[in-house]
This record gives sequence, structure tokens and C-alpha cells, in this order.
Amino acid sequence: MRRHLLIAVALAAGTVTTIWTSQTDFGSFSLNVAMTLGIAGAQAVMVAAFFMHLLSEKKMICCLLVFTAFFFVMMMGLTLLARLPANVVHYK
Amino acid sequence: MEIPHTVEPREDTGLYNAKVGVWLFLASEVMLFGALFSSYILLRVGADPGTWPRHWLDYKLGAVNTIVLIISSVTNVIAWANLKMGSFRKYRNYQALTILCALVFLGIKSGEYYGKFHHYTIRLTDGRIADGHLQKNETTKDKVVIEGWWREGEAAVMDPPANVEEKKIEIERGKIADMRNYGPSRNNFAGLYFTMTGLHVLHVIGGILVIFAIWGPLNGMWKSDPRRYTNRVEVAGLFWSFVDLVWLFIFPTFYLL
Repeated sequence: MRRHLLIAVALAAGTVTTIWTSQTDFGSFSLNVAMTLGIAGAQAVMVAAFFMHLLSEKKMICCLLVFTAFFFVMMMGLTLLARLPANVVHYK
Repeated sequence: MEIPHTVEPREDTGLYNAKVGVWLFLASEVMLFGALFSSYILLRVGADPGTWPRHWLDYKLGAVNTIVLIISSVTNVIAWANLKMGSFRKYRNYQALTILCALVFLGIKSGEYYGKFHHYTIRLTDGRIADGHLQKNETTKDKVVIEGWWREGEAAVMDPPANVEEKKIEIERGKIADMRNYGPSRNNFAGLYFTMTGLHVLHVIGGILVIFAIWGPLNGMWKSDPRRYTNRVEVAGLFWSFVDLVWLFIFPTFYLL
């Protein structure tokens, strides 16, 4: 129980830090985005590892999630493919 | 005939059926929310500079909702842990806190949605722009009354300045060229905000209905088959933690960036 409470405090601190990074000028908006989403990602890993017991979960579940992560990244990549210039996608 | 491995795990995977099922379901949910997030990213990076809204949402309310969901995840896990240790009474108390936190989250979200539907941008025929919350008690068929601000151009509508005092603004209806609220039809940001948070709210409602059902009407299984009951609580908790995880990305994406 103590471990869960510590993780909860860490998550709350992460939330406060996320607000702070989003409102601080680091010179580049892209850097703000990267830092803010990076902290959100770290919070997500803590929730998955401790609240969803992934740290102690069986291999089959971890394999399933590796596949999920692969297809998720592919889907994001396909979406951003639309941002490439036309002559990169459709060569002359 | 009893279905095997509803309680005893399979020898090869070490998992019982419901756990495999819920993780497969959560994998599909990752793709569902992921598709919406990728749509948001594409629309955001493709928007012309100055046309994508910023600071339209109250980050303080969003932060409170984030903390509320974190607390609900903690109480949910502690409830399951107490059940594993055989303490049904402590499980009931902690799970009641989970349900209460979910209701608090839904209440705050309802308030946010209400505010957005009653927040208007009014463009006058003389080119001025007023922006604020409709005062229904004072609005008549001749005039619209809002509590808000005069905006210095479209840029101030897209990215409103902070810490400006609100004041009462009365506008004759004949002088209104355009009047629209901050609902989902306003623009892509609003459409995606309502779609993604609305979908998340549906997941919160679904999750809490399941948790409540297991906690309340269906808790007789604790006496007849305690291990199976504990497994049900565990898989419902996995879904609840996932709902919290999705919000951890929704909050910075919409409220902060």
C-alpha cells in the first residue's frame, strides 16, 4: 500500500511539473511539447507498471503489448506521412 | 460443463481467461484513442500559424480532474489488494472511494461542458469582437448580455490573454453579425476536444458501472467463489487504470499545449 501511495504522489508531482513545463519558455515550442508529453509518458509508464502490475506480469501480456506498440507507432507514422512533400511520396 | 481457466491459470501462459481477454481489449482501445490522437496531431501541425486555439480550457480544472483520477486508480488498486488478502470490508470501503472519485470527475467535466456551450464569441457589424459567457437571465429578444471581454482581433480569440478582468457587455441583437459558442462545431480543436473527452467520459461511465455492479449487486460471488470474484475486481481495475492512463495524455494535449 505504501508503494502505491508513493506512486500516487509521484504522479501528482508529475502533473504539477507538466503544468510548469508547459508554461515555461524554453526557447522552442517543440521543446515544450517534447518535455510535456515526455512527462506524461513517464506517468503512463508508472501507471502501467505499478497500477496495472505490468512489472510482474506474464510474458504473453508483454508480447501482446509489444505488438500493440508496434502498430501504434506505425499508425502515427502513416498519419505523419501525409505531411511529407508530394515529390518524396510520389517520385517523378 | 464448466469453462476451464476462469480461475486457475493456464499452465502454458500462467494467465486466467479474463486477464488475457481484458489485455486484448485494452490493446484495441490503444488503437482507438491512438487514431484520435494521430488525427489531432495531423490537424494541429497542418493548421496555419495563429489559427489553432490555445488556452481555451481551464488547466486548473483539468489538473483537479487529473488528481481525482489518480486517487481513484490508487484506491482501486488498494481495494483489489485488500481483497487478495481476504479483507472484504476494506475492499468495499476503498472501492466506494473509487466510485466517489469517478462521480467527482464526471461532475467537473459536466461543468466544463456547460461552460463551453454557454461561452460565445460575438462579432459585431462594426468589426468589434466580444467574447464571454451568456447571462441568460438578462438576455432578451432585443439584446444579448455576456460576462466577458472585448477582444483585440482574431488572434486574441484564438489565444486569449490571461488575467483580464471580466465585465458585463450588453449588445443589441441588430448589431450582431455572427454569434457562435465554443461547442464541437466551432472548429477542429473544439470538435476533437469534445470527441476525445466525450469518448473518455463514456469510458469512465462504463468503467464505473462495471465497478459498481461488482461492488454492489454482484458481490454475492465473494461468498460462493472468492477467487473468481477477486479476478473480476482485478480485470475491472485494469480497465480503470487504462482510463486514467488515457486522461494523462488528454490533459496535457488539450489543456496545456
